[in-house]
Amino acid sequence: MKEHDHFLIEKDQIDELLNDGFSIGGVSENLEGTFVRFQKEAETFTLHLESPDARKYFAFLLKQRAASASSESLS
Amino acid sequence: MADLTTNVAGIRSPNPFWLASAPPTNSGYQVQRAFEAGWGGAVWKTMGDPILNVSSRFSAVSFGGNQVAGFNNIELISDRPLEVNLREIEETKRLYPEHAIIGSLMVEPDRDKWHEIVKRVEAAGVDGLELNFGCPHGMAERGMGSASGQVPELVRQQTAWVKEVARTPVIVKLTPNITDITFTAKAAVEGGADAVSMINTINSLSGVDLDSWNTIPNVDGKGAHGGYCGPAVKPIALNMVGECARTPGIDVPISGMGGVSSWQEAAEFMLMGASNVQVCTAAMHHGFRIVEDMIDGLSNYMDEKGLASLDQLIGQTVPKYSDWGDLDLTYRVAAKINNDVCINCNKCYIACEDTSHQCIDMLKDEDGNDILRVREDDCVGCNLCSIVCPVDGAIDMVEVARKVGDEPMTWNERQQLMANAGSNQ
Repeated sequence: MKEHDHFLIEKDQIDELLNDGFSIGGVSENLEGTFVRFQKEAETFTLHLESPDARKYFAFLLKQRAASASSESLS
Repeated sequence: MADLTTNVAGIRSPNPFWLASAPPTNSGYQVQRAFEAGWGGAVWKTMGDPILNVSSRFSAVSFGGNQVAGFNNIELISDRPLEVNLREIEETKRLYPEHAIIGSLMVEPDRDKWHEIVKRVEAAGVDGLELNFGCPHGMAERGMGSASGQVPELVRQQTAWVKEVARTPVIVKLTPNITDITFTAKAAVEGGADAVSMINTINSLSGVDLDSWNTIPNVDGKGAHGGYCGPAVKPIALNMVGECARTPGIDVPISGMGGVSSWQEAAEFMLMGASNVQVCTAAMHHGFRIVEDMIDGLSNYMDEKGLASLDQLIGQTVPKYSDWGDLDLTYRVAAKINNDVCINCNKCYIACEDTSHQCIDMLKDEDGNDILRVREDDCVGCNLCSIVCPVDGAIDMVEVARKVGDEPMTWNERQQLMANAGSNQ
């Protein structure tokens, strides 16, 4: 599979979970890539990200979340 | 017209081009010819206890039809008595008072020996001193040159000994044969150095003769490692200059050298923080008169850039030189093949398909002609296709517009965000 296609599949998976109301609960990385734990109340789901661009993309979401938390605490 | 006068830690010269301490500065005759040709300064070939040389001293590496891409030598420091060198320094300084003469020195790590040679060389009228802690061959086996230069404490101590008696600026010349040159540069500054210079030559062996199985060069069938310089070492030298220029604590001028062959390289070294440049191999290859083009070229460049003096050039690129972890992970460039210029040699396709990211497709245009097209989304912007392309303008690397999710983020920022997000475990 082309790298970009691989990224689009993983990005869709991330976006779908977020659209379903999940949020990022934790993250870890090892030799196999990045494992992002999504949670919605008691429900959890771990997504294994392999493509480099997806591993950048989820970090962008973390940055977005941090920025929004920071602006909420200021207001 | 731009002002090219240079001041390196108080050593003034009419332009930033100095001949490095090496065979071209072995005698008064040569240095005077160099000054007549236009060189702004000369670092006199290293003086110390006169040595004995071997015969068959130089060799060069040619690459792709280019002669002297790299240059290797096993010649040692001056083999002439100190008094002869000093007499010629005195005469040269008298004839060329506006040009800088720097005495390069190398003695054993002994305080009295340093004191003696510093006093005698300064008495001859040099404008400054350069301590040779860099030569990697021969003298290093005797505990001098790079053997001293690889040990920060020896650099610091010997510099301090010199500074106890020196009345002219002291430049410490550093060896690149070390993992991190900033350690020895800091040691030199701690010892009181007024400036540092880099790089001396890199341990090397030019080659092996496949018929005789002798090394190149060899002395009656036997070889020893030499010191490598010339155009091939420029990227190594440029990085070392940049690393020293951006490292806190190395707050002294840098005299840069290593593969400077034209005004363009000189400008690059100065942009990376060098206050001036030293040249050897290019002069050995083409003669002293190359300095005319260097002066003209640098002067024209500065005029084009609207720069009045070298101070406006020196160090301008240093703030742009950083750690990998501070580079933006989401910035992207992608290759664009201009098929109206492309000659369909397919070197880019082969390079990408065999050794990079397989993102170039071989297609036919509407008239049935062979064309190459990059799948931009799969291109990682490695630049390889544009590097191997033999035709100017056939491949451009173009910036890719950012999309949502491509906001700037460095590796260091990402790791901090990961840490804040907490672990899965």
